[in-house]
Amino acid sequence: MGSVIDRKTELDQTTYKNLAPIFAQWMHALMECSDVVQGVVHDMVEIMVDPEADDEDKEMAKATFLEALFPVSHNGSLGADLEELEEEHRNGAIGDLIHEMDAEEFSFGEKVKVALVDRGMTQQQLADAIGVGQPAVSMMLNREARPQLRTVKKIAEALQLSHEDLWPC
Amino acid sequence: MKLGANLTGRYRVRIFRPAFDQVRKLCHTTRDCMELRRQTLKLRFWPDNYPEDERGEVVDLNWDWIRSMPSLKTGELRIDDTISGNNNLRVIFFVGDAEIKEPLPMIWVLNVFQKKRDDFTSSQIKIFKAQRQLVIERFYTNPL
Repeated sequence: MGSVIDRKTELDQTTYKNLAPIFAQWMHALMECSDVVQGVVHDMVEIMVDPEADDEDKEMAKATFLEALFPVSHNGSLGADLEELEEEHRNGAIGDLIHEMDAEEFSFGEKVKVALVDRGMTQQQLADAIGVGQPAVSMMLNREARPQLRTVKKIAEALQLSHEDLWPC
Repeated sequence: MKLGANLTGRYRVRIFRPAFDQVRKLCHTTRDCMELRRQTLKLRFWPDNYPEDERGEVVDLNWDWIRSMPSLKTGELRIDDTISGNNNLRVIFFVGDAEIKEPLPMIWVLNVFQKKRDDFTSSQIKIFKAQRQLVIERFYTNPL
């Protein structure tokens, strides 16, 4: 108890008075949490005050601590569905960017399909050449999955093309 | 178009707010955020029949279970490309209860970060476990 009084006297009285309502709100949020979530808060505080923990881990712990105390919902539930988010953005400010990325994937798929026909290669042969399964090749050619640049380069090499021929740089 | 009408894959991929904040910190441009999102969306093709002790591939990305979180269905997805100057990007994911579908079962993105050492730190493991616990508590057990 003595240490609490000592700390109070060390603090500027105005600061103390200003912080008290905020602290009360946070304590209230904590008390409303289930035991499980209170346990999460406890664990995150331990990391945030651990002098051995690195700064990035402390930042991650802080974000998790805030989410535990003040959860944010999207469309009424925890977290956000990545595909739905993209659809929401499709008609918004970044719609042009989304269409541009769609066009890159479409163009890539069409160019690779043509190259396969020209070389008499199957998707399975291409998959074997680049070290993935045939379904992965099919997904990338049919715009179900965006290839990594590393994969574009492997495909270009397998087709004896420059990767710039398949993907805009 | 109705949201989510074009269902492809076996899972819906949901992102947890702390992971969303991490993505915004890591990506300097909207295009980079979108790139990371589309790579992460490959998790919707994650295989159903995963053995507990195995790693694997999803499309052209590798994934692995986090060894220090056995049986917690929590893994790391490795992104090979450098995005916004960040190499060794890792997406930490949790495979949710397969019985709960909206309309497909969900894979949760718990965290996204640049891995700078071979192993996870003890703090990171504690954070991933806490994030997983929050998802279970606030989505599956006592929904918001």
